[in-house]
Order: sequence, then C-alpha cells, then structure tokens
Amino acid sequence: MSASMGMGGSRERAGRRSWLGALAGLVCVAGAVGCKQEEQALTALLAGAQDLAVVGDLLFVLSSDRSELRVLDLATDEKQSVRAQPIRAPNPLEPLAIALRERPGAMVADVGFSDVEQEDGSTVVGGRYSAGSYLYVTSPGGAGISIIGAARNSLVELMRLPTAAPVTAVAGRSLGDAGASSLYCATFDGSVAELWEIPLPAPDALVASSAEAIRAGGRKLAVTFSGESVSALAPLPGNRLAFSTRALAGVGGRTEILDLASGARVTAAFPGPVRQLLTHPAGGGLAAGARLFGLLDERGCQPGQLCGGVMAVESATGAVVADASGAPMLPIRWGGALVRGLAIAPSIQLTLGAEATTQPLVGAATLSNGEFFLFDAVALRHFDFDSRVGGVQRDNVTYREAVEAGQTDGRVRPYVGGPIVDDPATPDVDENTIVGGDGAVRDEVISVVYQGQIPGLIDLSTSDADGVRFRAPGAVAARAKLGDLVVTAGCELPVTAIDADGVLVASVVGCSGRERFSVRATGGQPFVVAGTFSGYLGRVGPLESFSYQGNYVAHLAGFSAASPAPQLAFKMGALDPEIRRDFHYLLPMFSGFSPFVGYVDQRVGGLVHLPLGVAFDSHWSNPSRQGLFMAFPSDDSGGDVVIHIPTASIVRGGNALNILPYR
Amino acid sequence: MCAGLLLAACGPSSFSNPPPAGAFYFPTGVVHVEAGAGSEGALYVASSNYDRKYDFGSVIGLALDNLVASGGLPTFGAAVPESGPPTLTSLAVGEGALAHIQSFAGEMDKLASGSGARLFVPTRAEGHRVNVLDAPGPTAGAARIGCEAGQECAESGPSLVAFEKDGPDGEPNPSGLPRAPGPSGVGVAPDGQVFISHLLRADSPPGSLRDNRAYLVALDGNHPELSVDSFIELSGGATQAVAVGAHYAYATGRYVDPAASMVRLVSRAAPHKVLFPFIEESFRVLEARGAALSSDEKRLYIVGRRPDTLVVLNVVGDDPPTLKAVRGIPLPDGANQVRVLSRPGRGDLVVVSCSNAGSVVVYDDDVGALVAEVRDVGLSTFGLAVHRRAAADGVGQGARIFATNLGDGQVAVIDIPNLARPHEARLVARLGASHVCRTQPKSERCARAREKGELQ
Repeated sequence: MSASMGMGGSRERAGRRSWLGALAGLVCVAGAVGCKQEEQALTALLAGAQDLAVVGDLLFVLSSDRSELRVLDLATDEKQSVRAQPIRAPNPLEPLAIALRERPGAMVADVGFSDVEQEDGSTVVGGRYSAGSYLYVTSPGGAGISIIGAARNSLVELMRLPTAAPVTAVAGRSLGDAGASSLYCATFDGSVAELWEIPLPAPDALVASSAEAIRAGGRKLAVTFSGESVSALAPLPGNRLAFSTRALAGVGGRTEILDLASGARVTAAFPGPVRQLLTHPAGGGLAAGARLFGLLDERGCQPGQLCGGVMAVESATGAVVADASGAPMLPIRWGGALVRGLAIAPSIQLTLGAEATTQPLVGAATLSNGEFFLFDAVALRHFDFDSRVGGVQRDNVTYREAVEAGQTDGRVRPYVGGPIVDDPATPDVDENTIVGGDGAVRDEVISVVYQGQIPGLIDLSTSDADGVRFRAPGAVAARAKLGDLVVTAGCELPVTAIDADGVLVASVVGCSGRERFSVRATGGQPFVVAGTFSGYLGRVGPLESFSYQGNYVAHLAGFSAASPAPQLAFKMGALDPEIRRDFHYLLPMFSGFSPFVGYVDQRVGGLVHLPLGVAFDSHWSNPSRQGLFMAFPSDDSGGDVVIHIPTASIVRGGNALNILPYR
Repeated sequence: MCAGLLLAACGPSSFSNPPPAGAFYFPTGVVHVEAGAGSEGALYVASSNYDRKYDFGSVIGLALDNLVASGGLPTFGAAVPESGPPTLTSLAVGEGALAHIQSFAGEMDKLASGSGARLFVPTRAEGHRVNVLDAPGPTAGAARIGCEAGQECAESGPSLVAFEKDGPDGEPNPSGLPRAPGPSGVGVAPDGQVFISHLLRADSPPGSLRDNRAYLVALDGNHPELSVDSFIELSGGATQAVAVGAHYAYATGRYVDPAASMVRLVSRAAPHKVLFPFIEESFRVLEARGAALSSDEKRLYIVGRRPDTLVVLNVVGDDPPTLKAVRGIPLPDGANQVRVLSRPGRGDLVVVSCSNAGSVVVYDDDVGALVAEVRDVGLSTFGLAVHRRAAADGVGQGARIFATNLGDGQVAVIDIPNLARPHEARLVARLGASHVCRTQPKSERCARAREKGELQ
C-alpha cells in the first residue's frame, strides 16, 4: 500500500466532507503523484523539534525555532516503509509545515471523555478518552492562541484567537463527535491572572466565524487568583477542570479541581506546587481521567534534596492516590534529574522479563540528565528489575584500621565487634542484624567509625576571638554530645555545652592560633554512622541497637505501610579491646531497586543530549508497532532529531537497537 | 614608555586604516553607565573588528542624553511608530569618545569609578590582552573614554599570555604555563576584583595539544597587573563567562575537550579554592555560555547550548555555596548572554540574547516561563547592557536594554516600560549604521538597509 492510498483510506475514515476538502484533496492527489515518482522516504525536516503530541494516528512535532508544526503519519503502511512518513505539503515533494505566526512555546491537544455503559447497566462518567478537533499553540508572552486543525483534512492554523493578556496555560476538551471543543486558557497581565472557558464550534464553523465573535462567546471562570499565576490546566471528566498556580515570588502554589457547572472546587493534595498537569486514557481498570497526574515544581528545591517527580491524585476527591502497597504514593523520580516531558498510554508492550508483556497503563518521563524512565501508572511506582530485597552485602562487610596517608582505605582486620553479621565460619547460624528497608536502603557504603569525625563538624573555621565557643550551625551542632572532643590547634578539648550556635568547651588555654576545628565522637556512643550517599545517619555505642528511619524512594513489593522498615538498622557487638581511633566497619548496602531508566545511545541518535517532548504511539492493534517518540531539541548545526523506539525494544541503560531517528 | 608617549601624541585617525569613528563594527561588549537622576547616562560599545578590515577594534562612548535630545533615540517607554523602530545612523560621537582597542573584543564589564567607570575588555587578537579603559562619564555632551595612552588603548591592560615564553622571573618557560589564551568573558565585583575567562585551551608545551588546562584569571581592577598567582587553575576544558558574587565567582564552561563543566566556582577570598558542583550530571547540555546571579545570590541563571536552555539553579549558603538545578527553559537558537532584573517582592526577570534567532527573550520567574520574545533585534545578537530606571508610567521600575548585533554592526534598544509587565518589552530603536552588506551582501536585509540609506 502506498502512502497515498493510506492517506486516502484515512480520508475515508474521517467520513466528513468540509470546506477543507479542497485542501485535503490537493494534498492527497498531489501526494499520490509524488509517491509514484519516488520510493525514497521524504525527510521530515524536524529542525528544532521540542514538543510532541499524538492525535489519532498523527504525530505533531512542534518546532519553536522554525515557528511551525510538522506532522508524521503514524498510519504509514509498514510494507511501504518502517518509518512514519511526513504528511506532504500541497507540493508533494515537500513535507507539510503548518506555519505559525509567532515563535511557539507550548502545544496541547484536545482530550475528550465520553460516558461508558457497563454490562451491568451502570455508567462510568467520562470513562472513555478520545482525541478532538484541535491543537492549541501558545507563544512566550503572546496574547493569543493559535488553533490548529488536528484532523487530516484540516492541518492548518484555523484561527489566531486573541486574548486580553499573555497566556500562561491552555487546555482543550473535545465535546464529542460533532467536532466542537471547549478551550480553557489562563492569562496573566503581570499582576492579575484570569481563567477563561471559550466554546469552539467544529472546524467548519470555526473558520466561518470571526476571532472576535469566538472570543466574545467565552466566559471568565469565577476563580480568584491573588498573587499567583496559573501554571497548568487539565480537563477532567464530568465537566471539571484542574488548574495549578505558581506564587509570585516565594515557592508556593496550589492545585484545585473546579466543577465547571457548579463552581465547586476541591483541593488536589499534591505535596507542593505543580508545573504540569496530565490525565490519562482508560487502562488497568481505571476509567479515563480517574487520576490527575502532576509534575511537581522544583522551584524551592535545595541542594541535596530529592525534589520534583510525578505524583497523582484521585480526580474525584483530590486525595493522593494509594499505590500498589496501599500507602499514599511517593513521587516517581530518578536521582537529581528534573522531569522534562511526561506521557501516559494504555496497553503498552514492554520487555520487563524474558518476553514482552502488555502493561495496562504506562508512563514515560524524559529527564534533564539525558535519560528517560518508564513507570507503572496503575501501581504508581517504578518498574523494578531487581527482585532482591535490599540490604547488606553480608559477605563484604569488613572491619578496617584507620586510613593511613597515601591509602584509600585502612588495612582489613579480623572482624571483631561492630554491627553483627554472620560468622562465615558458622554459616548455618544466621546472626546478621543488619537490615535495610526495601525501597529505602540506598546503593551505598555505610561506615561505622570509632571516635570518628562527625559529618558537618569537620574542618570548620574558628579563631581565637571566639573564645570557648566553636561555631557551627545548630542542626549539625546537635550531633555532638557532651564529652566529645573538639580538635583544634594541636589541642583536644572536651565539649561542655551545645547550643544553636555551636559547641563550647571549658577552656582554650594553650590552644591559641586556631583557624580550623573538627569534633570527634567519644563517650557512650563513640561510633559515627554515615553513608556515602545518605551522609550522617547517627551514632551508636557498643551493644546498642542502631536505627535510622530515612525516607523511602519507592514502595516496593512487601512494603508495609503499617510498620515501614527503617532505611538502616543493626545491633552492635561488644567493643574490640584493640580498637583505635578511626578503626571502622564498612557495610556495603544494595537497594534491591532497579528502575526502568534508559537513554538513547549517541552512536545512534547523533548529538542527542537532552530529551524534551515525549509521546506514545499506542494506537496500533499490532503491538510490535507501538513506539515511544522523544524529541531532542538542538541547534541548527546538527542533532535536531526525534527518536522512535518500539516499546517492546526499550531496554534499561543505553538503547541502540531498532531506533528510528527522524530529522 | 616611549611607545606610550608616541601613542598619546597621535590621534586615532593617524593610523592608515582606523576603525570608523561614527559606527560600530562587529560590536560585542556593551556597558551602560548611569549619570545621575534624569540622565540617560552613557553607553560604551566595543567593536571587535571581527574580519580585521581595520587595524583595530574600538570602544565608542555615547552620551545618550544627546541622542534623546536630538529626537533620534525615543524617550523611554514611548510608543513605537507605525513605520517601525527608527535607526540612528549618525551617532554623533563626541570628541574623545572613541578609543582603539585590540581586535576580537569579547564581553565588557565595568568598575564604578567616581562619576564614571573603568572598563575591562578581553580581546583575542595578538597579545590576548584585557584592555583597560577609563570612562569619566558623560560631560559636555560627550562620553569620553581613554587610557594612559590617550585613545590608543590596544596595548593597555595585561596580556594573559605574558608568561608563555618567559616566566615572571624572566627565565625561559618551556611549559608555557600559566596562560589564558582567547580571553573572552569578564566579571567585575564592586570591590574591584576582576575575573577573566578564556576560550582556548592552554596546552603544555604550547602547540602540543597536550596537558590542556583552563584558568580563571583574577585581577585587581584598580591595579590590573598580572602575576602567576593571578591564574586560577580549573582543570581541563575552557571557560566562557563569569558571574561574580559576594564570596564566589561562577565560571561557565565551553565545550572543547573534555566535555564542558557547566559551572565551576572560585572562592574570592581564597582564589585557588575551586569547587566543582557537577551540575552537568543532573542537567545535560553540551556547554554553557552566559551566567548571572540574582541580586540576593539565591538564584544562578546559566545559558546552556545544545540544546539552547536557560538553566535555573538554586544557590544555598554562601561559603561554600551549593547549587541545585530547578528548572530548564528552552530558548531560541544561539542563546548567549544573560542579565538579571531583580524585582523587590517579585521573582526575577531574566533577559537572554539569542544570536542565531536574532532575538532577546525575557524569562519571568514568577510565571516559570518565557514571557516575551523581542524578534528582529538584529543579526547575531550578542552583548546585553541594562539601564534600570523608574517605570515609564511612574509606578515601579522599568528598564532599557541595549543589545549588540555582531552581524549587522548595530545596537538594538529594547524598552520594558514596567518590570511588572515584561510582556510589553519592545524594540524601540537601532543605533548605528549597518554593515550587513559586508556580512550578507545578497540578503534582503542588505537590500533594505541600502534602500534606507542605513549602511556604513
């Protein structure tokens, strides 16, 4: 089947003739001529691709630098080409470019929800998810919205709708088969934000109307915004609309769900401000739009904190959704990277084990570190490729002497005292006391150091002018205990008091000329416990139990919300009589957690660095044609590319097989 | 000394091929110096003489009050006429308001000095100097500028390759280190500490392409002399731009080899204390260009390339500061320099020049997105200077922004009449005659400039 036949077929499927028929006919007839003349694939010319949207069997690619949209035909017959072909321009030798009047910054497509009749006679309101007639494109600071036809016979900018102030967020709801939509937009004039609902007729009627008339038909929604702008919008089933705000200055923001008929509002219990909202199609027993997904805003994030990520609330109540463990879900994130793009699709083939299986609802997120991850959007957690329960690599626990100059670690000693593990000589007796909560324990090495320096109280500045005070932030000063030793200027001074400004000693006589100081643990809890990733965890003494609750990064199988295991716990043995300062125990921990994180191998994609837009091509009944598209924006000197990976071929780590780059 | 006297005795025009006295030529660095309430102040523009058509580059000082009084430069906040922003082809450069510098000038920054400023201009021609010029401020209708040698300032300031052949002790220096070839970026602290970045790797021995080093060069701007201690080694790569805070200087990295560090931090009190925050591990762009700090130093804005991205970082603590990337905003093609307009009680506005797109964009941290793009600013928009001022409507503050266009030889003037409404940013004028027909002789721009009589 040729591309032209495929397009003709699609035209028939559209089943509608319109004023745009002339344009569509020109495209298709010209396309037929072009296809007979050339077997070669047409280059899509996707320079500056930033954002992606799948509407039906079309992939829209937003190019900000060229101020245009390109369109890939996902219905391209695989016998003709394994690649999705670009929709052709009226001149069939050229790919279609939908010109935009201003440099675009964002693009969203209509989503629709229709009621589903159940076999038992009940109705799921808005349970079915569908595409609509339009795409909406906005520009930075632009007081207007470009309304683009999303059907094959209307691939043009149908209207430039002016707004009273620059648009900060936009969304659209398809109202059904008649082709009408509701457009929602938020504006911000620098001090006041407003939220509008604007009815749009079907494309034929839209182009027959004036922009002024369409705008005049809109209504300002009765929501007051004070000291905030609107950052995101998402239509929800049941004629509801979710909106998120961003506080002017500060780091605040809120998300609410507005009933457009009654005006009632429900607070969405996201743990912080949200910068993007998204709903989902039906899948995994969930009706379309049952959950409202949000990308958490990292605006207030501090170094060392894990922030951002994907969260979901129940769209009916606004409550944080319980994940597969039954506990409120945790943000789905990966390391310190920011989530850039997010897509969710049903019935996706993934290879999680030996063979590909169908996952009912899958999320894909592109990351600022160049990677992407896939997650289970029903269970609301990462896929986990590591079936082990996290804990300690008990065979590799060691007891070592102090690190000497020029060494990377101390000499290994016979294991005496310390956190109790098996004695390799009696493997039938399980004496291991070292446990790590699966989903909380990290891949890191825990050190338990005798009379160790206390993290946060190492090599701090001081001077004689401070007298008996050694200054440190109160939070870290609290790690010290009375009797610990301040080491400075050749002196070791017992700590006699601790307050919010540091630690104090009784006397500094004979310790003049001091510039730096550290604090060492002594007394009843002379062991300092710290992780290479987690940092300071606490202190412990001989024969004591140690426990650090920590924070879970994932609720993995076996997690108990009622009694969550601590990140790290162990029991200490008796003190080694020969122990010396800085002798230490090393506990190599493993998380037992291996999420579905991948990246595109640069040898395949060229200079692909930072993915942005992401979209699933999930409409195929043949799952082998399902794919994940990712946009890698770059500059004109190369590397502009959209990557397609069949979902069943996606692997953790570097992806190099079966990838189709589009340029 | 003799050379200096000779130069002082000669006016700029006594050379066979001096740069134009009334126009910019491949302008790069730009600085605005305020001159008291009610005054438009002075604008200083460095011309890089990029194709070496002339013997030198230049710095031209413009007394902006003159340009406004003549009616050529619109008053701040005025509406743009229907015919479009005017072009001032005649700049009325006053006497003593042009100084020669080396070719291939990069950025320019200022150190307040009396009613005027001392200007620092890194140059990449022979000598790899940081030309140092003094601008006493606009007086008697002229924005004079010069150096100890009068207006011949190409040899002013220290050479960053001074120790390449002979060390500071005069002995041969086979390592060729330290040196900082290709100086480009400059950041000046209010107390006079000056930091210079450089685009070319310092290999050792010179020319070997081995043992490549990157430096940040620190100078006392009041006494800009160079010693070995002026060179702060940053490991490999190259440095692009530098933002100077109260305790640390933040140097961005350009892609050479190895891959660039997005930013490296140098302690101002202990300059050889260098911090590597490894931001590139959490935010992956190929290289970084401009950088700017918010006035409270709690935010750092870095312009990344490939893809063009404004990377917003939270800065926590001051000694040492720690960084966290919290947002990435896609930018138009060829993003370059960045300036911050802090707003009391509100989030920052961040202005970015985009060379390939020929535009200037404004990011609003309150909205978390770009809120304005001023297009058709010119060809290869590069440097940015800001004149903060009372808002045009008298409520709050506004800003006039000057953007150099390397490709057409002009300076674009952009007004944000009120910082509370950054979407109202607009191009209001272009300064200088165009040299676009030299860079794009067959372009429509060239034809249009010729038709309008706006060519040099």
